[in-house]
Amino acid sequence: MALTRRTFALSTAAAALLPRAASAATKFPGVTDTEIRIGSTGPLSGPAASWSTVNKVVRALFESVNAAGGVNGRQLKLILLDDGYSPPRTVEQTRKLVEVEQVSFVTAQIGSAPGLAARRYLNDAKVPQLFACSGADAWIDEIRTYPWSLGWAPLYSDEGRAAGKWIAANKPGAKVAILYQNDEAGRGYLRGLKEGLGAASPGLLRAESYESTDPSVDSQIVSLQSTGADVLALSCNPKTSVQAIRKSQDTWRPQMFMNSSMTSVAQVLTPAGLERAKGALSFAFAKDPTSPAWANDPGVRDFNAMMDKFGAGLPHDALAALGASLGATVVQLVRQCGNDLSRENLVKQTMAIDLDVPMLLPGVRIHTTPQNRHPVRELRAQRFDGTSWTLVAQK
Amino acid sequence: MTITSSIHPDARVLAPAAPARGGSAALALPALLILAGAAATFLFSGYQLLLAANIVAYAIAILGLNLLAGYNGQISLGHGAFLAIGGYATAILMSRFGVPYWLAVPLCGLVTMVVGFLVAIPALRLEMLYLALATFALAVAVPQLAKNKLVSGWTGGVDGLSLPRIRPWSALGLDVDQTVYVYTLLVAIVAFALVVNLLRGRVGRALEAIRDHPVAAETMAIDVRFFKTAAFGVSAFLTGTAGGLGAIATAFVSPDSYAFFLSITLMVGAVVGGFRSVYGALFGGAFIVLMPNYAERLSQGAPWAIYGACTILVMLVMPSGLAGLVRAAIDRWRTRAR
Amino acid sequence: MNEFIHQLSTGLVLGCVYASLALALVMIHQTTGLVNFAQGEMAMASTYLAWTLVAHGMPYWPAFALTVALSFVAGMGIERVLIRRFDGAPAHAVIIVMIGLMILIDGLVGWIFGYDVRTVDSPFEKTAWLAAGPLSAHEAGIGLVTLLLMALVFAFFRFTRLGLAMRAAALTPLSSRLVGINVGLMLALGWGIAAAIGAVSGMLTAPIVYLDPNMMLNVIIYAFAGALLGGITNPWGAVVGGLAIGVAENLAGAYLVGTDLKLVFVLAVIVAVLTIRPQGLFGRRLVTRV
Repeated sequence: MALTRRTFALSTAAAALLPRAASAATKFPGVTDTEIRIGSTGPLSGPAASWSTVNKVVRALFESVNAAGGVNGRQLKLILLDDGYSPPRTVEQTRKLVEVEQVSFVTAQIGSAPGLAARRYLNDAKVPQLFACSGADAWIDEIRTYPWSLGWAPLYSDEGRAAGKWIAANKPGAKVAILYQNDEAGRGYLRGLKEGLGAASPGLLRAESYESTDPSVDSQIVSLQSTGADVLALSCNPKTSVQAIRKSQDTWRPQMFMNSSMTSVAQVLTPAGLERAKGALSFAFAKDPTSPAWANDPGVRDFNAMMDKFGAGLPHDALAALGASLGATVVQLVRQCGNDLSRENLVKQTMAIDLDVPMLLPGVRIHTTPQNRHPVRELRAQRFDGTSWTLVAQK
Repeated sequence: MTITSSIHPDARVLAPAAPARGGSAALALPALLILAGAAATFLFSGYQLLLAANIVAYAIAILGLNLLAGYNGQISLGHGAFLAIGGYATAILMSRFGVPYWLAVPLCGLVTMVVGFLVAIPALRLEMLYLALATFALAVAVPQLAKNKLVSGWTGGVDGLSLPRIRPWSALGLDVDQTVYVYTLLVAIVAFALVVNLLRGRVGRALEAIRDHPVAAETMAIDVRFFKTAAFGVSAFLTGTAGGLGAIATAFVSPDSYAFFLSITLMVGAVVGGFRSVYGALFGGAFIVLMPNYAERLSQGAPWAIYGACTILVMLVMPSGLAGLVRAAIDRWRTRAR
Repeated sequence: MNEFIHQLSTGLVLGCVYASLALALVMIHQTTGLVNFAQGEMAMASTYLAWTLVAHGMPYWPAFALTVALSFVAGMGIERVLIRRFDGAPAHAVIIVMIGLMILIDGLVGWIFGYDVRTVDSPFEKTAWLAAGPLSAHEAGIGLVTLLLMALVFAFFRFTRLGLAMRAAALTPLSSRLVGINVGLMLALGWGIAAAIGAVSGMLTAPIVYLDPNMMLNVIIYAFAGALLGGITNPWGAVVGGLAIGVAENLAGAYLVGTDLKLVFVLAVIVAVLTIRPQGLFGRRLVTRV
């Protein structure tokens, strides 16, 4: 009995390490006449698992496109592997995608650290790393060193900058406080906020951080309140946003600025209290599928229909909107490449995308050029009126 | 039927250190493993070599944990901290100071060893349960330390740190992946040889005596404080070195690479592989790296539940882990052969 | 000064969260001599059970009662089926099993329910008259429940025969058996009651920290620190410890080390307590004769 168990264990271990039979050799890696294989990694398990909504919605979108006949006759096959938000594992899985699963390119990798960890390998192997789900500055700052890699969404620092500039222009003399999550997103937002505020006086009075595992941020809110600030910027995850909104609007009631991931009406504002969130400002790029403002919007309706059919069980939140928009960009890219689905052409075509994505806010358009490769950089200011977000004309 | 089957399986460890095997037979197993490891260099490529390198690196880390927790009874749920220190030290030495990797890894082992000695000082006073508790808290605190503003200039803060490229040993015809793997293998051979040697003699018996009967050990003039501190130091050295090797294989370190769950994963690997066995560390490393791949096929999102279930099952059914299973199989084969 | 008071009050509220879980830890320690690493996850699982019941239409307080009852049974079951088997095993075995249990429960809940964060309504929202000063109704409610729990646990151990029997079973199992105490049942009861306390703790905590599989992960560290600081042999010591940790964490984060070193601070507290005064402030030192 023990021998059988041991043999089993050894043979399965060997099977894990031996190479899979390679798929039929084709002109372009990962591409056949009927299919294009696209890889992705995300935290399907572990504490960060809620972020994987993005990958899953991309997959749902691909499935809906496939059901309608695919792109240029080819089915889009997303191969999604779990990295548990651990960079060493991301590198392993990325290599598996390229060397074992033989994908054409990798897309929508979740997380800054995971994506940056995989970046060097993908560039060395000349595999496109397109539309990484991370707003770290590195995706734009280091694009010349790593030309095969591309981000997608506006940078975290972009959002902070937009908030800072708005405050400097529209609220002179504002006293600003910020609560931020102690990770790339929060730190990036803080950096941008400082830049945007520039020489505005008195500017940023105090910055408090929190860990995503902290039970409560009441203490930080109390500290920020004591500075006498009248503007509170928040770069938080949804759960902490609810806590922060509740606590800060209790006795303090500063003008709130929210980052794009905490604007969901259903997920954040309703639990926090719609009345409390009234008047808050945010800089966003995608439509909130649960906001009444977009209830009759054709793009949102299509999105909901797609989700109901192909993404059952997934939440209709900001991450889903992000996933749908990102997926649409991939579809357009593949379409643009036509029959030249070489990796070089894929990268070349990313410099020539001109696309209106239904789930992005009006005025936010994807327009890339060789000098400006980053797909989405625009943000729209919007204000919460107690029921939904309304766009504000930017000054 | 052998006598030992009626005694609790762990009673076996109270027996003299290693069963006296014939001279050449004692070298057979290590030689076989080394040959297999070396062959892997040319049988595998790319992704598989990365997995293999990670397996070997984790094996070294678990060896360190086994030494401390298995042989010496000082349960540590915070060994991820030593991996982090080793990984970051290597990254900083290589990227900020230009130290070549083959020097950086042993150096970071030494750095981690010093930290290990420091940790040992309060640890001496803690009995097993409370040491587990304190190291548990350490594992949770480590990522926060790596992100802290004071050191983020060195550590790269939340964005992490990229390691410089390794130059392949092209003179031997090896590419980068093979070079990393072979280097990791060489370090592992040295580490395992060191530990096996250490445990075979007086030191091994002293450590186990301290684990099983600390008071009796003390009355027999075994310097408990010295051995416990030394165990911590050597354990830290091994795990720190493993951290450095892991950092080289991934070419990147960040606070996310050393989250709290990593420490728990190491402990699970140690237990499943075989808690009081040197070779168990190899099984443990393989388990940690390969299990998630299988769990993925079962159901995405399952690895944690499976880690937990495996740990409990192993403790219930085969407390000596996979190594114990193999040893039992070998024993049975031997008695049958006689 | 106003800020200081505010920090103090939020610290006390958090402290009640830690204290309530610390009580469960004390319960297990007093009855079995173990520190249950899986206590937080068990509490979290109970909270998910309560949430499921409420989501299916059951009103809050009956769901609360049912969850506590089921958690009690589950706790007893875990002791009987799993922990009991490691009675004579080497000391490290049970620790490892508890760790395994912790990750198994975490993984299972995450697998079944997903990792999205759910908001939970407080049962005290309707009793707004509880609010006092800077404390909201829920915060005052959680404080009251914690004090009540603490009084119950203390009275249980001090004044009831069952409590005495359980303490005896933990300290001297052999002698207890000779006196006719069913040691096995005592151990199982200990785990059951601890699980029930944990369930209460989780359900009180969820409205504050919101429900997700990792909600108890950090709380358990602070609860450990509180229990150790106050004395893990002592129910009201654990509560005092929990409150102290809550306040200290807030004050340290706001004034001393900064909020990004709070966990390191707690780690330092744990190590300091264990090294300098292992029995905690109010605990009794256990001396084993050799």
